[in-house]
Amino acid sequence: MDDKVVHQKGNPISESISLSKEGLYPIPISKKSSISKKLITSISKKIRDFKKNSALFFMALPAIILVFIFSYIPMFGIIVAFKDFRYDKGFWGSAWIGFENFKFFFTSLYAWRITRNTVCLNALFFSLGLVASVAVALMLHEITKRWFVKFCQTAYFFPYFLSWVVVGFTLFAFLNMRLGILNDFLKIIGLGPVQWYLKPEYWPAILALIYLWKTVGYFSVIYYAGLMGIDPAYYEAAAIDGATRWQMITKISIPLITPLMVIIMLLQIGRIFYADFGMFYQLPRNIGMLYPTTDVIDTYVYRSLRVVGDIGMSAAAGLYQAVVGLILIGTANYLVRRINPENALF
Amino acid sequence: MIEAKKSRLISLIIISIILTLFALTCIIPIIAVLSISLSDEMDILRHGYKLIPKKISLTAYEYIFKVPKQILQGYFISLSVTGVGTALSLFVIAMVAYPLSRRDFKYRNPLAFYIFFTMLFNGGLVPWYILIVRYLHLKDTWWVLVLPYLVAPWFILLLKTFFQQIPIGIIESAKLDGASELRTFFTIVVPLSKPAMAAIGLFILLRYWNDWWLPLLYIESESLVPLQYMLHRMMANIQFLTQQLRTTQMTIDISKLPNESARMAMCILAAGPMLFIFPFFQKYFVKGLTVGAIKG
Amino acid sequence: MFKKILCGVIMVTLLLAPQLVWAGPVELIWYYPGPYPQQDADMVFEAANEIIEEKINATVDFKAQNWGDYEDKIRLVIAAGEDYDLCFTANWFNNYLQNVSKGAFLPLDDLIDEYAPGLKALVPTAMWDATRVQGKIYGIINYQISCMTNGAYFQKKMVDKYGFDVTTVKVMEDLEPFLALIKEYDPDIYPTGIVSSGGGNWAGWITHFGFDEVVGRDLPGAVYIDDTGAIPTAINQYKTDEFKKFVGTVAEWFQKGYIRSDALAITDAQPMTKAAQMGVSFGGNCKPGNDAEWLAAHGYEIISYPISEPVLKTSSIISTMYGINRNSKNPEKAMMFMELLNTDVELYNLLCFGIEGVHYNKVGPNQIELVEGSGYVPNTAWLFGCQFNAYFLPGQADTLWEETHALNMSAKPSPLLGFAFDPVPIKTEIAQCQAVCDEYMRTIDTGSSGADWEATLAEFTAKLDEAGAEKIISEINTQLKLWKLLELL
Repeated sequence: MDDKVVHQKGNPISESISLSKEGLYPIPISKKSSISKKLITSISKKIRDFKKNSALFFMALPAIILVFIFSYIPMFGIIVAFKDFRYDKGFWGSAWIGFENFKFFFTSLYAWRITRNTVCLNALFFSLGLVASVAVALMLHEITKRWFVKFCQTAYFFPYFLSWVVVGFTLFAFLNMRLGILNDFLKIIGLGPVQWYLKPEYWPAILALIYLWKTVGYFSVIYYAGLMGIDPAYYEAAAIDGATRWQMITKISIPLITPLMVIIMLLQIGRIFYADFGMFYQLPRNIGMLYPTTDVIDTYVYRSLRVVGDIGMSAAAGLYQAVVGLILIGTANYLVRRINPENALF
Repeated sequence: MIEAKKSRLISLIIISIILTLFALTCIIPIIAVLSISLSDEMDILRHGYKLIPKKISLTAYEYIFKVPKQILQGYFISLSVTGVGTALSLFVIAMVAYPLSRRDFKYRNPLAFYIFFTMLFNGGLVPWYILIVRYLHLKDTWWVLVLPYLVAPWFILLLKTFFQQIPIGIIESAKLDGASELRTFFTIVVPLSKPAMAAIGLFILLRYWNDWWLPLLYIESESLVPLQYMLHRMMANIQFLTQQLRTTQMTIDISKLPNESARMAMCILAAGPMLFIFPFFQKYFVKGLTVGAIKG
Repeated sequence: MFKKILCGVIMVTLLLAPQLVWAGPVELIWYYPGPYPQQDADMVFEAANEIIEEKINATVDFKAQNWGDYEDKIRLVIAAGEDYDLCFTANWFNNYLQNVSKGAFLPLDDLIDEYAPGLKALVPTAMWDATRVQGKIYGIINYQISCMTNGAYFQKKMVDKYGFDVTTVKVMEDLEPFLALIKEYDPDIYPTGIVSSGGGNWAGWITHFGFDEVVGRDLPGAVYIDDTGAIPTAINQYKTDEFKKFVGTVAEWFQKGYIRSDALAITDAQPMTKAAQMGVSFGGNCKPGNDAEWLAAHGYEIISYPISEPVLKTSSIISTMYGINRNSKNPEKAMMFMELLNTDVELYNLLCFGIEGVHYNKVGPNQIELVEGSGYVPNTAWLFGCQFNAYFLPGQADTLWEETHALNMSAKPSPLLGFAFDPVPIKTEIAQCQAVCDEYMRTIDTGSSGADWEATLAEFTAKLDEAGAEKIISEINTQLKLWKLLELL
């Protein structure tokens, strides 16, 4: 780590550091500058830039290498989306077939329904999840008894340890027609048993509740950690000025964890076309009658390709999800950048 | 003033009630799982799930511990993979998240995109498998359970956001004092971000602990099978057999399958240690590490 | 001159070198599923390797995978071109036709002729023909019960209690009086075992209804078993009167409470089966030795009664096979090993039941008893080779294999026998119809659509047409014509 390089320039420190620092280095431009000279200066500028940033770059290097190996190298596999993949011909030898693999998805009777379900349910989950986990984090932050916070946070993590299969079992035990706990209760209060597994209209709500139940613990830890990182001096100053707790929450806590909220939302927007397969497969128990509200892209692709078993076709569906995700997140990131570049993802 | 205190007390009580209720909804299912694991099988078949078992039966645990060596080995693999994986991964992730959080880092945006891109695009399972098995030769090794998960874009970008909260002035002044980037990072940034590091560390740990996907793909030796994969294998077998049973003419004997109690017992064993790990991480969720304290 | 000699020497060495390597035992890699891991598996595999090495100078790397993971793993191994020699394949698991059509396996005709004469003779020609894809064999059959006979399985206790004569059952509707009695007098027991688990009830009883499915379970496209035309005609089975009648019956049963009201949500029939909570269940293969198997597995008695004639179907023949990797380094050895496994009684039973005295005890010349709680119980004799070599378990009659073979030979061949449908030209339509079937089939065939059944059925068939069912049917018919034409040539 050549940290000296970074410092010998003695770059001036200002509270407001602009994103590009090229301006800090006077580039000698002679009046008789030729193209080659320009080239040399631009190369030497690049080298200087690199030297200046090298310490930070080398810190990031292990991750850069690992990402390259485990994520970028296998990306050649994207080509199978455009190929008629055969085992005996392999990735390179299989024939190119253009967009043939995409057809099964786009010409599907259900293309609209599964896309709508995926996007709407995810949007519902993400927004409710954001509100609920921030609320839980803020509430925990108000509690001064350490043991109580510990107890709650530990408890909130319990659902995270139950796999979707087990959650599916438990939910069934709860909603089951005959021995279900909820129906026992509904009978007592005179609302009669409900055939939950035959009524698609209830499922967006059921799924959203389960989603919250399973993830609020996880996400609230992030926001709670964010709140913990806030300099107590802010609150002290506010208290001296006579601010109420509510004012402190809305004027200090929330604005200071906004970058976290934005980044999480951005990342989730990128994933809005991907559904949690385990959840959507295990909870509605693959009951056809519930598909109108519970069938999503991932479960649909899985089911419809069971017989055909074509990795080209599933790659095509995956590529479609990724491209749409990239467009969405690019747009969202652009908007965020317009408002506050600090909060943008890249 | 008294009025304000009173209203604060009331709001605290309401908050506590909400938090407690939510805690209960999270605990009850776990208790149900525990209770099923302790129930007599016939009771479950006849009367369904009950929150408190009619009579306690330990047969499920006896069934699982029939070969204690296997379970203990599973614990050992899970613990060692999780321990080493979490430490290495947190290190690598923090080291890349920090430059990404620095506004004066020239390659910040391209690097963020480079990392983020892998969250959406991947080459699919088969090329990944080919790479790991044929080129990296990691199949059936202990390291294959650790290496592929070392870097996680989601955690990097989160941690980067946490690091951004640190006022740039502190870092600049440290550099003025002649500290190198690495030194600044370890002596100032890391201590200031304890809650964030703890949160991300916890997530990484959970990811390693809960994973059954890597062993499913790459592990063949029984001695390298972690606990979660044992659980997964059990569940997958049951699902497979109950689904295939009547459609094939093959007689697959399902009477020897672990019953519901045993499945739930396995859940408890697989999640158990993690239920106690949380308080350990919470110790880093401390207020009061002020910027001023570091400066002084 | 010297150069020539040198060249010659090099040539000879090059030619001999592989031979020299060959001299040691070849290692074959063999993937198959089962209830693994088994505690004593290594011990059994070691004993098996002793036999294999002695007989064919090879050893086997046993890649015994557990049920739930086998398909994921073997698909990856095949797709990634990883080294292996043999793998289990069938129409229901690690799909045989899919693998063949994508070029995963080696054509075996010559290898069988040369290296597996015993195996070839063991399996009737009609069965070999069922494995042919475009004229070539790609799968080695584990010969056993090969025909499909649908059955009804009555709980004996109930039959005795109500004095029901099971032989009166010719069609589903004949069960009504029995179901009504159970419904009325045994509230704790579900009259039928109809739930949504497993491949569904229509598909489970399809032989009874007289169809053979072409593309796959539940997908549109079937022929009548008694289709006697020169070229069998494929039809959409969901538009037939048989299907309509079936749907009407289950819907009625559902409304009368003969089918449990939450049937649609029950994906696991095991608790019901274990607790003996059903009066009668249907489907499956009603084969010799069934009742004894059931008693051993579940601890209570059933009476199984066939409700279809035995039919020889491609799907019932190709339900347990092995394929050889197209890139296998030692296909000859792999075939020799298959020959050994199917003809060597000792090796076969070793893999099926383990080591004598440790995992089982002999109680007769060919009768054995398993040791309770031993460390090796794969319980999958049907997967290791020709089942007629297997020892008899308690409850199995000595004549079991003769009976089975006789049944196979007497079974009525399906008009589709020997025809392998190539799904590739219409894979888009198949994927789409699959989605439609998934949405409607379980609702319809558990009777859950209740009084609305006619509307649901109409919706279902309309959606299927929209998804391209007719295109599938006409593709099948085209391929059927081509198949018969080639046969004539």
